[in-house]
Amino acid sequence: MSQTQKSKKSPRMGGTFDEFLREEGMYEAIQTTAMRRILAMQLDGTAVGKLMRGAGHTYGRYGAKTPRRSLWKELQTMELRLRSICFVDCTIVLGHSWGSIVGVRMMQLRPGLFAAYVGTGQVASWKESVDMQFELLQEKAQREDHQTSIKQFNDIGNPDPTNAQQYFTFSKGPRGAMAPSDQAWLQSLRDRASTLLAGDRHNFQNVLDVMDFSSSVRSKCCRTR
Amino acid sequence: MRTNLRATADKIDTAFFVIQGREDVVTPTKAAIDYCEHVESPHRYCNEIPDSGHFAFMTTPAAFLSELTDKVRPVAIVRGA
Repeated sequence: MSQTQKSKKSPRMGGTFDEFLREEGMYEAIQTTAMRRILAMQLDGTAVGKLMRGAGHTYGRYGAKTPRRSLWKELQTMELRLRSICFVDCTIVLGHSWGSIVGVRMMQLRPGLFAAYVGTGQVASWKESVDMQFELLQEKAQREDHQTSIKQFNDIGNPDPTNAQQYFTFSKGPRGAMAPSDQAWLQSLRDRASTLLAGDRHNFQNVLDVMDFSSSVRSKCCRTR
Repeated sequence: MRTNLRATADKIDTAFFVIQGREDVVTPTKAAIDYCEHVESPHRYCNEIPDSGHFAFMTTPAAFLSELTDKVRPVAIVRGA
């Protein structure tokens, strides 16, 4: 390290961020505010949602007009957010479904930023997924003697994983082939749709009160600097 | 849509976990576990959760949380989380 760099060293270096906040008399207020913001982000899906196509930015919804995003820029934003708001040293990323592709890419781009990656509903190969789904749904159509679907599958022959229109056409009915637990959960969402939609997603105070999101919970989630 | 992680992401320089619903037909379980076992990583763990599918974290939350607390968290803490 050069002399110039040494002279710029913070006089507080060596102390923890929590100690700094206590010295400044801001610890309690910051803890409360930060925790509310973190929980709000988690509930709102902001931190994660910005990295998810599924958060209202799906191809299925927008087709060729799907908003294009730079994963690199998103990562930089997320890194700043985590470091400035959550004060965590490292993060565990959980990637689900299409988000698992994004998650794995994040690990490739910035492995040092993340302590671990967890994939669930993990995509491996899109072609493989399309082929398996096609086969499964075709079998289901034959089993149920659904002539329209059988003709549709026969017309397609071999699915083209790069043909989005074709995929979204034949995969319209995958829910019937889903695991019973998935079907039940999706149905429960439909049943509660009006309640969920009526909720105020920007006011988390009642949620915080119910959840008792205390500092002890926080310490279980992540260690602070 | 040309994604093939087995070819493009076979080496991950952080702890790598796949916790997959055993009956996932949207992102087929066999493909997910095969990929996980193919990945080179400082720490790798691949497991299936029984009686669950694509939304394992919602439909079998206790089992999923158990995997996170028992398998992921200890490794993540060692690695700095």
